[in-house]
Amino acid sequence: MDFGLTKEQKMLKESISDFMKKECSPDYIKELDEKEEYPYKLIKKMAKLGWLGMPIPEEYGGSGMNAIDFMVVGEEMSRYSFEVTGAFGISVFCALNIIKHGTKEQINKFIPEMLKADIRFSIAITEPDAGSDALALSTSCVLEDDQWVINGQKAFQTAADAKNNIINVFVRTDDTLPRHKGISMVLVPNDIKGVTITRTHTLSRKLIHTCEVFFDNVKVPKDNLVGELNDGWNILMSGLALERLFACASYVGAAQAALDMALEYAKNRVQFGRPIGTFQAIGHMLADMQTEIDAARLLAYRAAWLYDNGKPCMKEVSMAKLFGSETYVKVANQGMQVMGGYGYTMDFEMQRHFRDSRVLTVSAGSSQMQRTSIARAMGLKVV
Amino acid sequence: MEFGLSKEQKLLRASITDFMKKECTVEYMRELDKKEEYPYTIYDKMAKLDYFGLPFPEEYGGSGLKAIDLVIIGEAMARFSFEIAAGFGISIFCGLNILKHGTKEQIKFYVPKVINGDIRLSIAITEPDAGSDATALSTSAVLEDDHWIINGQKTFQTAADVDNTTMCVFVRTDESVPKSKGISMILIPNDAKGVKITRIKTLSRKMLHTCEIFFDNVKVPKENLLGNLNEGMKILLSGLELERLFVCSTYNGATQTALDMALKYAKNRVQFGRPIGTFQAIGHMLADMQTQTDSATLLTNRAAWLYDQGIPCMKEVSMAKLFGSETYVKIANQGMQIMGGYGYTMDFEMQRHFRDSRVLTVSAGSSEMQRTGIARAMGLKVV
Repeated sequence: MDFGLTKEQKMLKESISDFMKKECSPDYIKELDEKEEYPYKLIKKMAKLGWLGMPIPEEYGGSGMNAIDFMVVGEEMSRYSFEVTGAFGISVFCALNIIKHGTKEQINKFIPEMLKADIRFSIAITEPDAGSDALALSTSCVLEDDQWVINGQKAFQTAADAKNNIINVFVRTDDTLPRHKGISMVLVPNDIKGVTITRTHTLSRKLIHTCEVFFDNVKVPKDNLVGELNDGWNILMSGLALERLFACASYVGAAQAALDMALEYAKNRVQFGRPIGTFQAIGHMLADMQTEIDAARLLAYRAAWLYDNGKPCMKEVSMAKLFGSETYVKVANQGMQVMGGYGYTMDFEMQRHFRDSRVLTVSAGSSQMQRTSIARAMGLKVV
Repeated sequence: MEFGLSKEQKLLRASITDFMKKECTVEYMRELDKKEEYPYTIYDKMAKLDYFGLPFPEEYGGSGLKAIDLVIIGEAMARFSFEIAAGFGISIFCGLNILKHGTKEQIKFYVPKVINGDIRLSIAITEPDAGSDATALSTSAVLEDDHWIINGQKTFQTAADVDNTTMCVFVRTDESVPKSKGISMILIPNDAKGVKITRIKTLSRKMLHTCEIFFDNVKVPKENLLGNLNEGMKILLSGLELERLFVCSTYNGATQTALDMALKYAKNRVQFGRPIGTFQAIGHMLADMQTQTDSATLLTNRAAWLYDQGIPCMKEVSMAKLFGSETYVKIANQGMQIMGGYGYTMDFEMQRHFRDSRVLTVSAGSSEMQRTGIARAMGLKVV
């Protein structure tokens, strides 16, 4: 066993940290959060450094990073902003899916542009009636002449309305087959005729936005289908483990940042003549918080190690997702408790952690769905 | 990072498992538990296989195993019996203290006998008025001519009344210095004149026994002092990390066994026409249990890895102790819930886990003391 980072991983972590410290200050994030603006400038700078290609194979212009390295990146980035890390990740994972399942033409057309952040990707699965039960999706997609015609509605779409975004839309292409066999993935630019995007205002995600997407006789070329017809579910599943792993790393980084803030406050805030962190009620709370974050981190990297070694790891990924998201929610809530009234004000970052974290036990597979899949992996046919 | 076991570690685990499967059957455990008998037979067999020498350096007849190997052993052993694994550790860790701090003569006398099982060692710190506040201990040792004269009382002493046991007794040798600086360690055979040992009946520890020890003008030779006079606390702390690590690994092994039992029951127990594990209420509980058990194991292995690298790890050991013991208590309790009335009967092992686990958030440093230790390592002067 080896729980340490290599020299290269330490350097990688440091370079992320240096960059984020400089480019992603609390003031910058606060400004975007208030203006509800996508972090275009920051993502562009990342693209210039080649970061959008980190886990993308070298032959396609990336660096071919393995999962553990990419987790180091996600964790460190998220210490500065969970949302920026999210925005960064979404495009990358969609790109990996296109590389894995797309045609040469699709790869050549989209990947170089994505690496430069000239275009970006978002993913569209959820619908008003298809949340955890994703297979219930019904947005239809019919081939007419040489074009796909898409009709339907997607909900809770992160970053769908960003500029130059191409939506990776999961659609129903065959009603007659079992539900998971009639789904396909089609690339739909977000600014074409018939696509209407409206914002869903939420507690957080102010930078990257949550949207509803309406498709009204949207037409895209036949070539915009990625992979085989009706193979959409396999495409989705093939990239899921790595995407979840990265999300887990970002939970851990953000949770650590929230904890560090509460800890700093507890050391400096004097009440009853001494720093509040020296009272057992607060000190012990912080000890539990760090213990749980460490556990979440270990679960995440254990799963990434399994992934990199080609071992089955969906159960371990689910554990990391479950424990990591629940921990971030808990730590942000306790952090707010530690910081008292100050934590509740918009002048401190704790309220952002409180807002950022809350949806994470719901999004990317709810805690309940994670438990169901862990239980199934344990041999229990939970229904 | 590397989360896997080496080939040698897998072999080590397999050999411990094979031995325990054969020698530590459920029937054997139940019999000892019921008769409240020390497991002499199995320890004699372990001694013959040189198990007690595993962590001792090769020059002293041991195998020189590292901390990470030891936690693999502890986990594998405790899957069959927490008490047997715990009892196995006590002699070893006292022996390692003698090796580290003893004179050549002490090492020569004790270490080979500990390894071949001819003598056992137990440790005596706690007193009626010195529990978590261990440095409050007041059992006195005064040098008269060439002998130490010991007077006082120890309580909650595990395995003090076993045949051929020498107790490592922490005593007050100087009252005029600050309390942590006037403590020494003296070796006292449990059958020496003036030593009286009585049992304290507890919920579990039926085999190892929990005892009170009374010292009434007990006389031992001057040479029975271990290490320097008044350096007892240093001796105690020097071996603490490794001992705790082993203890944590035994929690994890026992927890996994309790969980496996509940899981098996949930797969086979049919109510309302289907196995109860297929209901979300039970399936999700088991998913959480496994996630927490994995977290506890990862925290332990991480701390052991740090220890082996010579990196300070007291905080990480405390996290493993805190999370591991709390997890075992929780899993045994939930396991009993899942097994319903059957778990409550003496015919199933779950009640033993329930009993075994309950004291572990108290013994070897309570959860509260662990939290204080962690918080202090985080820079909070918790009082």
